[in-house]
Amino acid sequence: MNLTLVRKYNKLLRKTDGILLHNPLLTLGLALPLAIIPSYGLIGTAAVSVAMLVCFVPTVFLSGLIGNRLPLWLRVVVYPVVSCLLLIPARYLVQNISPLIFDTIGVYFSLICVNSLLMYSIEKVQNKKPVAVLTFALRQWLGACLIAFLCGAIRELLANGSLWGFVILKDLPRLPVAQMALGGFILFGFLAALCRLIHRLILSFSLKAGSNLPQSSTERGEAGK
Amino acid sequence: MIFLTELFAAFLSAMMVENLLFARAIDIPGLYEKRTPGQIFTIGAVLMVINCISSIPAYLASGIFRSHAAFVPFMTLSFLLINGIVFILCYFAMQRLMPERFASIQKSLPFYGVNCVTLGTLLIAARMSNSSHFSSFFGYCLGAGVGFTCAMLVLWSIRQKLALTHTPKTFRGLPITFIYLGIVSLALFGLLGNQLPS
Repeated sequence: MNLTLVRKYNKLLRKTDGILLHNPLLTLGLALPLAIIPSYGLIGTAAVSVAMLVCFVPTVFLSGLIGNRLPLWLRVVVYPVVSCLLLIPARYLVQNISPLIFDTIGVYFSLICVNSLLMYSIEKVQNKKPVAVLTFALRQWLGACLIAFLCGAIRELLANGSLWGFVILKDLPRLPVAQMALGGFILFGFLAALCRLIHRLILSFSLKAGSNLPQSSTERGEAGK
Repeated sequence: MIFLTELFAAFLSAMMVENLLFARAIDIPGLYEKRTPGQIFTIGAVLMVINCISSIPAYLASGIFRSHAAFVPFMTLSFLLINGIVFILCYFAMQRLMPERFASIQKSLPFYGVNCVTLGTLLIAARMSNSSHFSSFFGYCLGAGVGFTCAMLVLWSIRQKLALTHTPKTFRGLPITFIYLGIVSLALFGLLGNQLPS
């Protein structure tokens, strides 16, 4: 069987590890408080994404640099405190997105400094090199933001018929429940299932397409032996 | 009597109507891992003890933040420090007083000590307790811990029930758990009403 297409697809997945493969939100269920409640719309998602970039990425990088020098019981206190200190400049950046954003996202802005994605990442990068740590942190952030933005856009469209506050769908019926926690949970469930379905379809398509292709000379040689 | 009434009202509100997991989607690291009820009760006990002890200094700190608005941006940092110190004290107390139980959860204990549940409870309690009574603050922290333990037990029972049903391959695992959580959350929103938690 010719597996070239499957290999190419797997290679693509490996390159996008943390974004398409092992996505922190859809595969691991991490950072849910930040993805479910503040991603009721694109503005809230953008605010959380900016704050995550300022707090999450430098903290994970720092934890990679320090490594195992700190015991676990101290790591879980020190890194959230570092992240919390970074929340103070992040607050001023986020204010530029929308002045009323803190009224809307409330405590969820503060929870960025202790979210489960941060706790997971600081343990994952203990024995990695600095460049690998930075890449890992950026991939995790990008993967989480990508899904949060997608979810935010869908929920805002369903609930208000708008995107970033601009009304797009005027005459369609509204679904306010999409902005609630339950809407987020259900949408995430369906998104996770959809991604899994797409993955399975691509794999089966690649295998079928591969079986119709003529065998390469190396494979023919191997088969002969 | 007023003390008890306020405590009970805040406790019930935090446990049921404003359940941290179902109504506010607040989680802990490794929430979706498979656990036994015994492990769930241990995690719940750790969360409750840390919540209850942290509520005393956090209540005093929230009084300062209420009277000095300029310090409000530092509220998260101060609550996080309180949470961290309480966790470290509990960690070493458990190591000394309950060495066998400590050995069984030593690796995962730090993640249950400082997380979204412990910090989120203090922050929400500080926002909600406008009456400046300690009873409502403490009641909320206690109720949040009990409510989260109940939510984890519900999650465990969901897993038990789903293991006996035929679920489509694409929905197995996390997707169906999310959908189930959404449905339980829908039931609780009947009590909370149609509003976005903040």
